[in-house]
Amino acid sequence: MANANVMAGASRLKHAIRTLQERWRSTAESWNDSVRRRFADRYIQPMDPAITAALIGMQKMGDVLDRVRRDCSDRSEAS
Amino acid sequence: MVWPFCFEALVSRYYREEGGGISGEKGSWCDERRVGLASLRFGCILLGSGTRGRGVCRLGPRCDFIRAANEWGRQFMSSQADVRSIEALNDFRVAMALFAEDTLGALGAVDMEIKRTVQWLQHDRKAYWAEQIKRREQAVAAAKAEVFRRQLAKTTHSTPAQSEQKEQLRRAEASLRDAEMRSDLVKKWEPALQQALLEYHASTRRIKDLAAGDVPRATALLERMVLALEGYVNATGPAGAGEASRLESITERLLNEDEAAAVKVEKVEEPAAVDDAAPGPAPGISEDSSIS
Repeated sequence: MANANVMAGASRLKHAIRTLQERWRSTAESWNDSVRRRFADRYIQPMDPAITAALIGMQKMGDVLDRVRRDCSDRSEAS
Repeated sequence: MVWPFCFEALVSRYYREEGGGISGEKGSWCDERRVGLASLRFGCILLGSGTRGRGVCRLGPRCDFIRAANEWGRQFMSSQADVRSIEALNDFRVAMALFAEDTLGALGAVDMEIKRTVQWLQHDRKAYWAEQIKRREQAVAAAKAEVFRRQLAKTTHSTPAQSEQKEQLRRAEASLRDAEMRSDLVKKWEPALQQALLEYHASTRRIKDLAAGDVPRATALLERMVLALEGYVNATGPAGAGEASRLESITERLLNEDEAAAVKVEKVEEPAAVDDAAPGPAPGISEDSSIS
């Protein structure tokens, strides 16, 4: 369950960045100048590696939380 | 002549919407002029200099009207593009604000789950398994006593069955061993979870900083750009051909200001960053929940 909650967070994060990227691409039709490119360098480009690192971190953390729950639970508690 | 739109449809639409107001003069105009007027009306840019097709002026690109219509069309499209860009900036500003909210919400939900597990491990499990070890030791002692009682009841004439009691003892001992093993796992996981937590926070620190700092700054910058562009367009009216660069210079100035302000903030934050390097509790998890 812990992993499920962490993975739900990861999915939300993925959806958020995907939506932002789509919206950013859609501005290209009507905003395409040097300011756009500088704005992208400053604010848009850094998002991708940051999101990727966070998603990897979430995956690892979700696995750890699952193992903690599994190792430290009493099987008789669940039944 | 290469038409960016179907000029038949364009001309038809022009006549339909203008109610044939120019029909009296129609004879003196070349087809391009009609197309040119439609272009003026609908912001179509006439491009190229092809010579084939219906309604193509023999003068082609040398036709003064076509040249004028082209220029007007470019200006019209330029101003349209700028107006649309203000809307696009505003839409993207909203999208960025939502992104920050969603990102921080997702990170917060994961932090809550981690915090729950840390507290569960640190408080609940420790006490639970300590209590279980006591109970199971008692169960083992009781099972052993029962086996011993059966052995005492053994006489030369009768041997009472002990298999059930021995099985009970075997189960009680296995249960005790499991509790001891899980108690050890709780102890093992405490530092391991703390380490995993530090690694997790290191992996999410950048996006957290972006969502909490850079994105709101970008949102504010976009808002200033939108206000400045709207103010300019409202003050000057429909923009001409050179206005796109003027609008660009407005946004450029604001971006320069933003970058200069960011550099100032970074310089101010530099000494604080040295202090931040000191060891402390993992962010997002209170000291209370950190494993001691």
